[in-house]
Amino acid sequence: MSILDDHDSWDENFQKGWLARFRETGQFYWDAYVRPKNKTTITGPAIELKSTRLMLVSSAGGYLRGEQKPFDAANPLGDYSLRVIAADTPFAYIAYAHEHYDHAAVDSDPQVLLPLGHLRQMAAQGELGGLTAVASFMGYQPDVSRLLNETVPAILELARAEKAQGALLVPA
Amino acid sequence: MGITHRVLPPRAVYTRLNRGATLGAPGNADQQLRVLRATLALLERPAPQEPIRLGESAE
Repeated sequence: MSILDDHDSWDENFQKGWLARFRETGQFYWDAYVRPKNKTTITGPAIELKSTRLMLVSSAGGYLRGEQKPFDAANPLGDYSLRVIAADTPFAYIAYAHEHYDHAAVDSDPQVLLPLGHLRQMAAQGELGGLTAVASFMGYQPDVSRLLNETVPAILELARAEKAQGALLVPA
Repeated sequence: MGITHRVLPPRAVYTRLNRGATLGAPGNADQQLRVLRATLALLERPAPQEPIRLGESAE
């Protein structure tokens, strides 16, 4: 079971197509970008939410203001690093570095992308077994190979360290 | 929807909510919780699950 079918083929296409043309010209050729495609999907067992430690995975570009380095949001080749945010972090401590969505909603109400208050409430009421730290990344990542080789292993390492039993990805 | 349809995640939810406000409109905690609970409920079923479409929108 793999996260991406035909990864080698995708990577060759990316290196010789979109990436090569970007490096030659500094321009984006999205027509040459081959979007990943799977033929099969990952299987997994059902879990009981009330006994599950859930990990929120966010692609909104959240980071701890003044404590963590912001994501390199302006990088045309993306940023594949991870920030770890404690589940009890007040929203005022979290800023967002991501240039590919309008921040008006998240600046007005962070729970539209980072539902930590709702999830904490659900855990307190017994709907969820608990919360791990949040795995936060900046979801502009055109190089899927780097996503698979850098971002995903970092998320899995955090999930194991935090003893996560389920995960929720909220894309931005 | 396009990329989700292509990569076939084990579970997924579609809405008509705005980009940048994935779980609901700002200040609309009831809507955010509806989307959140409907999404989390998929974890209580074995994967893969067919993606579900919720009637939630920004309007």
